Amino acid sequence: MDSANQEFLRGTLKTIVLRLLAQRGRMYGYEITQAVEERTSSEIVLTFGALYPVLHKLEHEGFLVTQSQEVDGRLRKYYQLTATGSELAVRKAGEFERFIQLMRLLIDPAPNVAFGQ
Amino acid sequence: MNRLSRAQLDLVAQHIRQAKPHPALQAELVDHMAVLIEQQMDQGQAFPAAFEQLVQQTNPQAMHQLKQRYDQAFTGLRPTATQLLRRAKRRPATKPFHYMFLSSGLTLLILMGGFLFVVCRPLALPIGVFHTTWSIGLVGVGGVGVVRWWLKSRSKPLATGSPYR
Repeated sequence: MDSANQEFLRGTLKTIVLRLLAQRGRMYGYEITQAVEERTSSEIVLTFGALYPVLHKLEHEGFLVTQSQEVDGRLRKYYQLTATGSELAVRKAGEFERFIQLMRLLIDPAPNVAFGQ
Repeated sequence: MNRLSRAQLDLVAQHIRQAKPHPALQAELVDHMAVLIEQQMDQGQAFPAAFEQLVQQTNPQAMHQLKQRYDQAFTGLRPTATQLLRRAKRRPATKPFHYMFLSSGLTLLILMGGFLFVVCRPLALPIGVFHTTWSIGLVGVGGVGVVRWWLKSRSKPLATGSPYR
């Protein structure tokens, strides 16, 4: 993953995690990284170093609940959205869509708008 | 689908422990790495090669970065609603200035009263001679108490609910 993607990923990681959990329901950490990698054809790679702090913080803030389950001899922690987490997921997705629209206006302004004006 | 044996899982767990991650992350990292290795083995890799890849992924730099990000995520966080409620249920604050005020006021009253009683008797002065001074003093102390009560009743209640909503 190039540095540009990494830069944008840092600012959108929370949105990505919330959105995935809103769509898929209950997921564990590795599952989230796999989902991101599959959907983006490995253009975005979510490392454990980036993911787990975000997951724990969202849990601490009350947007996620966790459930630990023993799987194949080890403890697996599943994450799920709370009601406020679901609301946040919707809000964040909306805010991000709006942000993309604004960025498009900046990057590709209308033909009659000159740069520097 | 490949599953790690007990011995292989113990090896993974030992490696993660040696990398010294944040304790809250340890179990999750073991599961994460175990799944990673199992997937590599499903793709035809042998366990030693897959384990070697794990060792490279969890190098000291990566673990340090994880620790940094984890610390950053939890630095300067305001307490959650649960923490605020728990703090409110703890023993009340000692309010040192509050008790100092009370004890000082009472001491003053006792000393004044005692002094006047001690002075008045030898000088054969009626206690009522100092009633103006007493009145002013009592009104002053009472006024301070009223102002403190009024200020306290105007202060905002403890916030409840997440500050992030």
